[in-house]
Amino acid sequence: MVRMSALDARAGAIYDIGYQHYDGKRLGRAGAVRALYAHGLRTVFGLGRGVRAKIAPVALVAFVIVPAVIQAALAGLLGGGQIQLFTHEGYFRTTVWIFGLFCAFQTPELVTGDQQHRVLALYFSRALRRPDYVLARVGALTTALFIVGLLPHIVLMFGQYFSAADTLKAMKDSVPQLPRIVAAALVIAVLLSMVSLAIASVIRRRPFATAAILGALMVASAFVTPLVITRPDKMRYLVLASPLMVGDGVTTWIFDTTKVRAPVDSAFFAPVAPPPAHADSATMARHRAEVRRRSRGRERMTVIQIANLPGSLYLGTTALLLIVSAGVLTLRYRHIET
Amino acid sequence: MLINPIIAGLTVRQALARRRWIIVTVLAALPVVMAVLIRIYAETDEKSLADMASLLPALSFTVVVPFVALVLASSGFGAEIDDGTVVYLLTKPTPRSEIVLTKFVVTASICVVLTFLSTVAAGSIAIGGLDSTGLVLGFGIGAALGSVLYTAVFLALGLITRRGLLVGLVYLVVWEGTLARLFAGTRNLSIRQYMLSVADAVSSVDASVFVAQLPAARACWMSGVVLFGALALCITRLRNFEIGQAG
Amino acid sequence: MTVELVHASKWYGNVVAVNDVSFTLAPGVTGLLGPNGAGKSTILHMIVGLLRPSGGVVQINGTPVWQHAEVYRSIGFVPESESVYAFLSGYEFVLLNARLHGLGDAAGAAMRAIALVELEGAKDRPIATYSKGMRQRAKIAATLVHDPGILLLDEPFNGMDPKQRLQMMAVLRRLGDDGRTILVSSHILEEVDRLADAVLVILGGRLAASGPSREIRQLMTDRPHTFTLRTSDDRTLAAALVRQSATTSVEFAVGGMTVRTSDLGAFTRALPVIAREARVSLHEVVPADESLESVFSYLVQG
Repeated sequence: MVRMSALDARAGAIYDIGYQHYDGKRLGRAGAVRALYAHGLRTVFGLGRGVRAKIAPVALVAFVIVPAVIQAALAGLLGGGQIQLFTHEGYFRTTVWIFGLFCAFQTPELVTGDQQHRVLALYFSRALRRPDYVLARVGALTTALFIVGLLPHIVLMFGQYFSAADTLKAMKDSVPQLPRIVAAALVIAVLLSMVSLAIASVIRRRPFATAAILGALMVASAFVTPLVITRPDKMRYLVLASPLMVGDGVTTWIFDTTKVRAPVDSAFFAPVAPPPAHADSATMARHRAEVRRRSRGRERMTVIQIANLPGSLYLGTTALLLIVSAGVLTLRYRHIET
Repeated sequence: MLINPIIAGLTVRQALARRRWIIVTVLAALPVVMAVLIRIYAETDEKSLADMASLLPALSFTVVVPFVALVLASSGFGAEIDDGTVVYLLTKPTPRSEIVLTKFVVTASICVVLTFLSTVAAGSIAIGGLDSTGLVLGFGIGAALGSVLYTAVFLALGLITRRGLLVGLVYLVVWEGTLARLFAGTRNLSIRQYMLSVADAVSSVDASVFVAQLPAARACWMSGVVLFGALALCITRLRNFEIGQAG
Repeated sequence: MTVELVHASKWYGNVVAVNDVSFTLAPGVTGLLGPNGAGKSTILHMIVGLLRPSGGVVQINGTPVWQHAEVYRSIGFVPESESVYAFLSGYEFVLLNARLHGLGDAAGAAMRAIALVELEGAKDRPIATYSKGMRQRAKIAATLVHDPGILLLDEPFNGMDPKQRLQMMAVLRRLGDDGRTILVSSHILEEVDRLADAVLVILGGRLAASGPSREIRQLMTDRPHTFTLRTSDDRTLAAALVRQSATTSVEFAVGGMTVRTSDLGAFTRALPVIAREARVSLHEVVPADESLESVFSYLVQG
């Protein structure tokens, strides 16, 4: 039998070198998710990170609000309801690229930064599980985009109130708008945040993630828009391939379901029948005039109107994009590099 | 010697690393895909010319050329400085101007070839053959010019700041996208406008189909200024390059 | 081949990284010793022309290095960072450096350099597959390929196992004996001690000591030492120690007594004898200032 000598006993001891124990409450998974969410929200707006980190978000939020401020100021000066430069349902379309820039600049700070600085292993050796991380990040970006999306609508509404002859009546009239505003801001927030997070999570370095998000959004729009405008009869469904266009469609539909459709009947978009082979000059002239009339008519419509698709289709595509993005995010965090 | 063949070979290998050439090829293929789609649903030949004149710049000039240049130029200096391998290049008796020019010529050449082929192929497919007005060729040359200019500018940005890439993106979206459309003055400093001017100058197409907003002579002048300025900036920055602190 | 720094300084805004450092490197191996953050890398980068001196002069053979690309023909620099062109093989990487230097027989020089660091077996594998130590060797081969008269290495033994370290030290010693000027930076005393003829000690950006390594070591052991003693009878022992010439001061505290001595060797030999003669039991003898930092801080004051 082996006797424990004094040496063995000493070798097995734990020395008190003044290390402080923590005997307080441990918050567990929920606490971890909440903390990561709050931290993410602060990161998106550059809070607690020095001046440099605040430039982009502050500038972009300012640009998002500027048209609403102009509208409110004009309404105040010229009397309510006269000038409608920027409307609720058209607002996303007006500021769509600012949203794009916001996502492109801030999403990498949220997710790609962790990848670049190899912090993921640190996070996942705590109470945080993989889905928790994704949830916290999605939550933070969605909340941020929701706030950013909501602000201009609030400014617009207040502009209407204070420029109206009867403020209380204006307030009462705008009540049905409120759920629409909230719903639109929410859909945009969720859509853009999921798509940009999915893209940013697979890129290694922050500047490249920004370029990737911006590139994806720009390429999608630049590819889809011209095709839809010039071949609306055959290419209309292509509109669903651009996340920004889908967002535009959903917001327009939420605010005013009629604006999603074209103000003309669908025959307008069909190709003009080519004149018969040996037509006289009058027929040719009539043909050219018709072509010109149609293209000019199209110039006055928005891309969504030209596409002339039912609003529920945009909603369905949004859901599809969300599912795909969620899939990408879940799979991506299965394996992390240390 | 102005171009260093060894650095040239190295730059080619870096530029065509796995992920990069896939992204760049996909980008260059997009206008061709668009052209094929247009062709499949073509109406009449006359309309195609006008279509193409508005479609190609929208996709090629606005997105494909700048982003191909961006992806390739980011491999020029940015990545090397970031991970520290630039030390091996700088501690050699090669003059800094030679390093810059070699990197520029190689990167710009790859970009020019890709975008020229992409644009000309797309244009020809969209029209369904060669066109007599030279519009397709004009767009091709415009794309080539844009490639050269964007490559130089993005190389310079990558050397100036760590966030150089971001500044370049902001320039693309805000300056060229929004401001240049609103304010006529900013058009003088927009590479996109130079591309359009050159395309207009080369082609002999009717103004109703396609016209550029900047006179061709001014576009050429400004292009020269931009190119010279960007390259001079690169050389100066590299001459004064100091290695950053760790992390 | 001389490397000369005269009142060289480097500051970043308010932070001074290198403070008025002057030295001249002689042929042979010199060690640049200092704790992390002392400024060793900064000095090396200044010598190699990757940092511009904020003040003073950094010269090689009388020519300032900054913005003089020709100087690189006679310098080789092995950086600390691990990054190399990962897609190249070891041989291709060394060959690239050879060709960038414009060597006539680049392939031959590359093979010789690879043989010198004993990397022939793995030379055709991509560097991305190398271990840390192999990467270091590849970097050193790339730096030796153009046969430079001056060699600068920033913490070259990081990640090497003892056998590789000994081999590399032998290589560097041989190169130093051939008449090359070699500067090796490290924060490990033993490495520098074994390898270098002369030592430069850097602390807080300043040159704290310079000279042959044996003398520096002597200085560091001959400095005043402090011991904390716990005994059965402090005062009796103190009285006996005060009579000893090696003791410089005795101080009483609650936990024990503190004794300062100017001659470590004499003190350590005398202490047990004195204690036994005074019939005092020594319960604990603890040296109070053996860390590298305290050694360095003594050097800075002294």
